Amino acid sequence: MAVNIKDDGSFEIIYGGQFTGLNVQAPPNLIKDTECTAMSNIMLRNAAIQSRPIFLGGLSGIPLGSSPIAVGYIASDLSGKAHTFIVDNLGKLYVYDEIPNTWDLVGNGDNTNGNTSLANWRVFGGILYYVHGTPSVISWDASTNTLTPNVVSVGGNNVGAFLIDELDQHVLLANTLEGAGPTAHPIRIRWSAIGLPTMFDPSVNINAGFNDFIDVSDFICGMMMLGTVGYLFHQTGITQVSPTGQGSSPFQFDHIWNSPDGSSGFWPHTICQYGQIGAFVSKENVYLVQNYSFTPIGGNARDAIMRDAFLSSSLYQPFSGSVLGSIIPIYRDGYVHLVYQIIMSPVSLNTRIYEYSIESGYWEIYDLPSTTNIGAVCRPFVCQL
Amino acid sequence: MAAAPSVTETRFIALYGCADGQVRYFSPDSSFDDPLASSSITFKSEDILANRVPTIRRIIITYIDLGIVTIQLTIRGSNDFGDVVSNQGNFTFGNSFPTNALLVAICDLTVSCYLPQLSIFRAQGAGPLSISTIVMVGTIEKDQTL
Repeated sequence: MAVNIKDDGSFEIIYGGQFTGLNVQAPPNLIKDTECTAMSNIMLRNAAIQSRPIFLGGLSGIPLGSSPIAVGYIASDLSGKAHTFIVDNLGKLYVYDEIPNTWDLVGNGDNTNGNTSLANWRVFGGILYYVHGTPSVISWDASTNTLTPNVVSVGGNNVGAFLIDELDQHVLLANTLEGAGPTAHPIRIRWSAIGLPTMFDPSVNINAGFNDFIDVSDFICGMMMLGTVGYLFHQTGITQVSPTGQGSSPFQFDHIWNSPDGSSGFWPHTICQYGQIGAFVSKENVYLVQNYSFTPIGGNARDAIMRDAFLSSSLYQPFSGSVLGSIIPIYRDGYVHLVYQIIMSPVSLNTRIYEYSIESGYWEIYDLPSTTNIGAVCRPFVCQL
Repeated sequence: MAAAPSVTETRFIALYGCADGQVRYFSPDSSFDDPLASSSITFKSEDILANRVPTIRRIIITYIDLGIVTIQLTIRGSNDFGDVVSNQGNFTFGNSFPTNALLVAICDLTVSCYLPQLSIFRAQGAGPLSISTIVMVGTIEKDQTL
C-alpha cells in the first residue's frame, strides 16, 4: 500500500489489523504491511503481535533416547475412565499417573524386528490398539491394565503394520508386516470384520479382507479417515476409501491420482486430522483437506517450509519421523488456537515449528531452544492431565 | 490385575515430548515471557517516495500491558552509496503490576535511509510482549525536483 505523505512531507506507516504472517516469496518491499519477512516465537493470534506462551515442562519420566514418541489419549476405557499415554519408538507404553505426576511403564509391547518408527494408534471399543512397524498389533485394556502383543493373526501368522485407523467400524491396517521374518507388504491394506477389531482373517470371517495395490509402485505412508470417506496416502498418489455396506467387499478403492512420476511425496508423519479437517505436507506444498477437497495452504511461507523440511529430512526415509505434523485445536481448555503445526529440525537450527492458523490463514514460526528440543521427537496431541 | 492410573482432572492440554525426557506444553496461563526463547519480527521494506530519502524519527507502539518488557527496535535501509545503514535502540515499557490495559509507548529512533525496514527483537526473558499497532513516523522531501 502506498504511503500517504502529507503536504508538510510527514508520513505515518501503520502496522495493525489482523497480521497475515510470514511472506518469503516476494521481495521485502513488495509484501503487505500486515506481513513480515522473518519472524520467530511471535504469535499473531487475535490480531496482535505477541511473544508466544512459555513452553513449560514438569512431566518427566520418559526415558531418554526413546524418540520419536506418540502422545495419546483414551477418553473412556471399558470402565469409563480416561487415560493419557505415551508410546515410544520401541513400542513401550507409558501411562500418565496424576499422583505423583509421573509416567508409569505399562509394558514393553513388541520390538521383535528392532523397528524404531513412530507409533500409530487407535482406540476402538474402549481398547487401545497400536502399531509401530513390527509384525504385531498391541492392545491395551486400561481397565485391567492388560497389555497384549500379537492380537491380530491371519492363517497362523502374526500381523502388524506401520499404520492403523478405523472406518465404518472396521479397523484398518496398512503397510503391513506379516509372519516370521517378517514379510513386508508395503502396499497392502487389511480391514477387520465390522465391530471385531482383531478379526482380520477372511477365511474365518468374509467381512474381513485385504487389498494389495499392485498398480502402485511404492508404499502406503498414511491414512486419514474423515467419517464417511477415507484417504490412503502412498508416495505417488492418494486413494479414496469408501465404505460400500457390502459384507464381502466392504470398501471401494478409487485412486484420486496415481502417477509413476510422483505427484505427492508425503512426509508420512505430517498426515493428520482433527475432526473433519485434515492436513499434510507433500514435496511441493502443504495441503488442507476439508469438505473432501485438497487446498494448498503453503502460501507465502511455502518456500521456507519446503526448504527447512528438506534440510530436516530425506523425503524417502518414510518413517524416520524427522518432519512431524499435528492439528492442535487448543493450547489448553479455553485458549483456542486452531493450528496445523509442522515440527522439524533443520540443519543448524534446533526445533522449528511452522504453525498455520486454520481460522485466519497465516503462518508463524516458533523456534525452540535446544534444551526443549522436540524436533523429530514427538507428535503432539491434546490430552487430559 | 489392577486398573491403570487414570486422569480425573478436566484440563486438556496439547502435549509435546522433548529430547530431555520431559513432556512440555505451551502455557498461556503462566506467561508470555519465555526465559529460554527470544522473539523477533521483521516488517516490510517501505517504498515511501521514489528517489527520496525519508527520515524516520519515531515509533509509536500501542500495546497491551502484560508486564514490563524490553524490546530492541531496529530500522535498516540503504543510502545513496549502496551502503546498508541502520539504527537501533532499546525501549522498556509496561508496568510491574500488569494492568492489561491498552497503553502507548513513544520510542524515538532516528535514521535516514531508503527502504526503511522495522524489526522488533525481544530477548529471552525480557518480558511479555503484546502489540496492537505500530506507527512509524517520519518526514520526506516531497517537493524536491528530480
